[in-house]
Amino acid sequence: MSTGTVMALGIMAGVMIAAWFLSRKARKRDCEYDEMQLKIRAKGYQIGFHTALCLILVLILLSELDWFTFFTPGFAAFAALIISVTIFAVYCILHDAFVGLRSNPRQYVILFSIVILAQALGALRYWTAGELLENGRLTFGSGASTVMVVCFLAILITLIVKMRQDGKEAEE
Amino acid sequence: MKNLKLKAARAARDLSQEQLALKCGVSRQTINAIEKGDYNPTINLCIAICKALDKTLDDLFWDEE
Repeated sequence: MSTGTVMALGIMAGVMIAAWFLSRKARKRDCEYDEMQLKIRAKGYQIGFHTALCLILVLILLSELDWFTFFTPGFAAFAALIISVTIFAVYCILHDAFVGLRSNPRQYVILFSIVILAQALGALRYWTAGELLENGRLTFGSGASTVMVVCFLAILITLIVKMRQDGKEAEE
Repeated sequence: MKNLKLKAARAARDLSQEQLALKCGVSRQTINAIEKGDYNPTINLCIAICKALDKTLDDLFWDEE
């Protein structure tokens, strides 16, 4: 079996385990959001899904026209998915539906900070080594961390700003 | 349209939005959105709020105009 096949099987197994784990967690989590939050989250999923759909259509178009001059299709597909997730998260945060009833937003701030730090270290390795571009194009391996840092930073900043707004509102 | 009746009933009981939210099992932001008229609660939540404030649905959610 070639390395590529093993990697593909590994990724598939990883995705299936993650999907099973997330669906179990989502079922448990359902009662953690109130009715308004669930309604907003449904709208958020819709917006995120439509964004992913539009971005993937653009990617197909770029692929057909052979315009992948700055990045590889693998990187572009990953970026499209991460951007969609970011849009969903930001929408939910802005409409008070990201953090569950019994959750503390500070936990998310810590979690996202750790993710950003870990990804930033990965991205920095490519930046400092000057290996960000391969043949003048961003690849999945070199660009994924950078995209993760940018998207998670956007989510983190939105969360912190919203927390401060909520704090002021609660005082009033 | 703002729900001033709800805000007044909550204030009369000396409850904060957070405390009322806890009693009803929703977030503070949901109570805030209802008071500001940004969210129309389901009948189940209306009943929960009425019970928490010892009021009737008419008292809090019926607009006479």
